[in-house]
Amino acid sequence: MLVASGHPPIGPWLALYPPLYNQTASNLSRLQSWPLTAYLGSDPGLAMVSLLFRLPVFFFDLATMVVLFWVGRKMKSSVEGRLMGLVWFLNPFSFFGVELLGLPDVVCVFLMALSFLLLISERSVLSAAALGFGAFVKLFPIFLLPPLLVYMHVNGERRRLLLSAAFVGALGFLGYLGWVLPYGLEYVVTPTPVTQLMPFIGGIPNTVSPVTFGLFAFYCVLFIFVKKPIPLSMFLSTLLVYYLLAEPGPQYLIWLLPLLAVDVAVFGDRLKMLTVSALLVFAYLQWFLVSTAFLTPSGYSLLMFPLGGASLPSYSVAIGNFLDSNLVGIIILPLVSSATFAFLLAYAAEQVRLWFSVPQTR
Amino acid sequence: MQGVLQHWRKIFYFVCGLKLLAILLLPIGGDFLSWTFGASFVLQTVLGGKLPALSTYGVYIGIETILAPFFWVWTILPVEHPNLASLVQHTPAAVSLAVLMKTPIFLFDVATVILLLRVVRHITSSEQKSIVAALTWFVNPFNFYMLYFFGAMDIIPIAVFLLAVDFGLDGRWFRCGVSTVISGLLRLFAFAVYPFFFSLTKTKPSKGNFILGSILPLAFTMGLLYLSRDTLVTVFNIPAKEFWLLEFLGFNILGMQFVRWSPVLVLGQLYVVFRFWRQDTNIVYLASVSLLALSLGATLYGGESQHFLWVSPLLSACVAMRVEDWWIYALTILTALMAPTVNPLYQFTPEPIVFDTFLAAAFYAMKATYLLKLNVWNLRIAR
Repeated sequence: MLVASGHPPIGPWLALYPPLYNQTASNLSRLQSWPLTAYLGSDPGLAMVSLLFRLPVFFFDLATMVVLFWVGRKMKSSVEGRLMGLVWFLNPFSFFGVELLGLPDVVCVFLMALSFLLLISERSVLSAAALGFGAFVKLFPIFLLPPLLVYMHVNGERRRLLLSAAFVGALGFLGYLGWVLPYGLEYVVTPTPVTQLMPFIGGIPNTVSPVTFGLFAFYCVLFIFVKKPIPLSMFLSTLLVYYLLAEPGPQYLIWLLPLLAVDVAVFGDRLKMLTVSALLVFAYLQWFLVSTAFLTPSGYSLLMFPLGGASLPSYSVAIGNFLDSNLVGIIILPLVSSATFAFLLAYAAEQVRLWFSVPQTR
Repeated sequence: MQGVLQHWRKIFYFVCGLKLLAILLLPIGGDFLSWTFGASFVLQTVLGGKLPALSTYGVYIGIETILAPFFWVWTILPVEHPNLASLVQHTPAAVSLAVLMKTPIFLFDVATVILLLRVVRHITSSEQKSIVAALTWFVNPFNFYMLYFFGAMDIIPIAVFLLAVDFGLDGRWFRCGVSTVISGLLRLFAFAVYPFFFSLTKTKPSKGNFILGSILPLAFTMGLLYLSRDTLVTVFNIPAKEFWLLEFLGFNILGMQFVRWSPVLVLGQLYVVFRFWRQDTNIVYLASVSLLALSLGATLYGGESQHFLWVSPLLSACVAMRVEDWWIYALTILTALMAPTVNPLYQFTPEPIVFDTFLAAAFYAMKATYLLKLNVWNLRIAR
């Protein structure tokens, strides 16, 4: 998308955008001229380009699994660690998002998971640095900096460390601005897959942005009520509140997945399992519906069935009719989206409940 | 038995008489005419040797099919059979038509009384409380207006729904599943209660029975769809014809394109039930909160008083179970009766537009209060 916008790819997204299914001629030629593929010559072949561009996201996918394993080991035992890693790695949601769609968010997701690991290992400043790196790549990890600082405060950490953490976190944010602002306000006011500022700072002129207001109010409430070091609940509830306020789109639920894996593996009771399963199922379904069955520009669904062109098989026609019907557009999609929202809300309530009565380990 | 309750039989027969008189004397209007037209069309189709199709009759097909035999009886009566559009009130033709088309309402109204008696007696083991429930339903002016003036045929699926509640109380989950789905097929609201009922099935056999019972009417309906030559595309395109379906989704939350208030509220209520409610709660409370949440979530049209009729018998049961909180019930029914789309005096109000929002808001507030109260009564910590 960024390539198609006419600007050269910016910042760290050089090697990761656009998603490979978007193979217009101009995109492909740009891809081939990038440093990573330039040495392959003038015609490296689609398979090679595809492999090269998927390798980084696959690497971060694996790395996230490893980090989650260590989180599990740290919090309970290697059994839970393995479970966490697998909940992430074998999850159809992350498989689809990362390997098939090529969501580069996995880089930030990895850094966020790393930040969490460092936090529970009592390495708060390094944890903030990981978040800062994450924010440098994509904005959303910066939302976790305030809860991290609250955690440090509640945990009784020295003020100097707190200031250092705030500084390194803010540094990442400045870095983010450093590669966004040279293009003026374009990437600040236009929602793109890379620059997600819009839902946070944008809005209708002369009105209070509900997202900004909601997040600030949430941080204040967090500061007032959380009196115990509960990093998982603090991180999870922050991201959940952001989802509830900003509706960033079902694919971005991938940000939540590692923390969700930790919560399910270590603290999962029956109701939580049900809530999380329902949340993922409805989010996936919503994603399927809003993206017209994951339709790509080639006319194929990412689920490997054709949706465009002549002489379609009958099942493709049936799916097409179903997706085009009023039933989907004005009944099923609102119902599914609302169900996703409701389960996010229920899960957020579960997390906020823990602020008031929780075991010390959380 | 004390006070007025000891004369409950006399009250019941007296109100029965009043209702029969209303059937005879009140003109055909409101929804009656629409239902009568629908029933006549269904009858024509059946007499023509075809099954009524969903594509023609939309989601009203079930109730209109139930009403068709009553219309058929009218067609063979030795009276004039003028065109329905030019029917003159209070003529033998109009009166006989009114009697026949309102008979199902009366029958299902009485069935609701009997079911309420059974349900509340089962829960409380108190005859007095069951009579309170039955009378608060049967003597209720709101119900009287909606059924006999307005002609809300919702009473048919409501009675079927109460049958499901009764079966659920008896632990007969197969029949409960059948009744819930039949009620939902007649009027969609019962489907909102489905997951709440499912939460009451504690063992695997009961879950299995409930699901099997639910599948049965669905399979039957699919068979009918096939026989009537309706296609799935027809089903898919129903929302375009039945705009009121959309009203039940409620307004958009925080300006989000697809996130609607009503499903969020119902699912939120489901979460509250699972997380915070006592395990030993009863099916009436579950049915009440789910339908109240639906009624609160819907926008003005969907949330209007006609559809509050679904909640009304359940609230009768609730007030019988907790008579000390009668004032919430009384205020809720009063505000329902005064709500702009129902209030019989509304057309005489000097400035309707001034009172419109006030009365609608009062009704909405009472529904919200009742929902809150029902949740509080059933919290795990509540005594």
